[in-house]
Amino acid sequence: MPETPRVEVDFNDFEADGRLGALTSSADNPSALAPGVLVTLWDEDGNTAQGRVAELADRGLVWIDVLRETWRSGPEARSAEQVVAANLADLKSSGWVLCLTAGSTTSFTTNFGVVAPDFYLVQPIFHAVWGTMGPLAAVRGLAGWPQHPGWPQHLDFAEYYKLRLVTGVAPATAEVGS
Amino acid sequence: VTEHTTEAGVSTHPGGHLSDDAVVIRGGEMKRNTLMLSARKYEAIHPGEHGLTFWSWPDMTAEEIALRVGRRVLMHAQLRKCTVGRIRGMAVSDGRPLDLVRTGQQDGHYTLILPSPPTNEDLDRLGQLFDPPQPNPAVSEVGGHA
Repeated sequence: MPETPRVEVDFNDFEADGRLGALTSSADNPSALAPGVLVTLWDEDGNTAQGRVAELADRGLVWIDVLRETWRSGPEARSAEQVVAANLADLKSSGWVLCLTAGSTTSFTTNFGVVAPDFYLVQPIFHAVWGTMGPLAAVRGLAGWPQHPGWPQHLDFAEYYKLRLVTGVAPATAEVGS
Repeated sequence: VTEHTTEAGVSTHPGGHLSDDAVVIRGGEMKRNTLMLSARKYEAIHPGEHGLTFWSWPDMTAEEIALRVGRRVLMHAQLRKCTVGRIRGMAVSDGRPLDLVRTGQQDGHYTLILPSPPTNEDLDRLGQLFDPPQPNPAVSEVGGHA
């Protein structure tokens, strides 16, 4: 796996939109930071995670979309590929139909930040398919995913989707478990 | 009373202030460099103000607060807790009394405005006010992330 820039952060610094704020000066290679770049986040306590640069802002700020499933209370963050691989078997055996994407990555990601549990699943999915897929009724019907048999209890759908984007294997329209 | 929010997102609504016995928590071990990093990041967003963020709801224990915040936001294996009264009684380098103010759009989210810039001694003193690190129930409840 190629080396990713490392950025020292305080994992308390999540904003309401779900992004983590950091200083570009806290990166080992600040010039490598650009929107979309995968970074390894670490803190002084020894925690690590992977994330993607969402935005470079004024005054040396960088906003990072943290891939929460890669979080580790230790020096080596799990890679997005490792997390996807670890969960793929569960998903395929469940016969899951994943109606994903179709919206832009940007709008999808932006709407991910909402933590309100009641809307968390419906809203991002709704935005993801807005204007490009017809069966909105079916999408709305998926709001109860976490309770659906076969969906791994520990796996957050939104996080899984972000991981798939990072690994470059996000489904184009829909994915059917075998 | 109409809520007023300053440019820095600081609520001046009286309800935004906590009683002395209210518990506040922060994720992690609160090491000095991490606190300084966070305070500097806050200043980059709110020029001229260094701040640190905490979580609190009136009449809740540290464990209840952590569970309410949840593991998506409070991912640390450990957290530290303190009372608002202890923080208010702390002496800092600029001599100004400290207080926590409700900030941002998230319920239970508070910011402690520090001297600008804070000294290492300010942050060490703040860290000493907090109880030793304890397990974060929001993480241990689901078996942790590691």
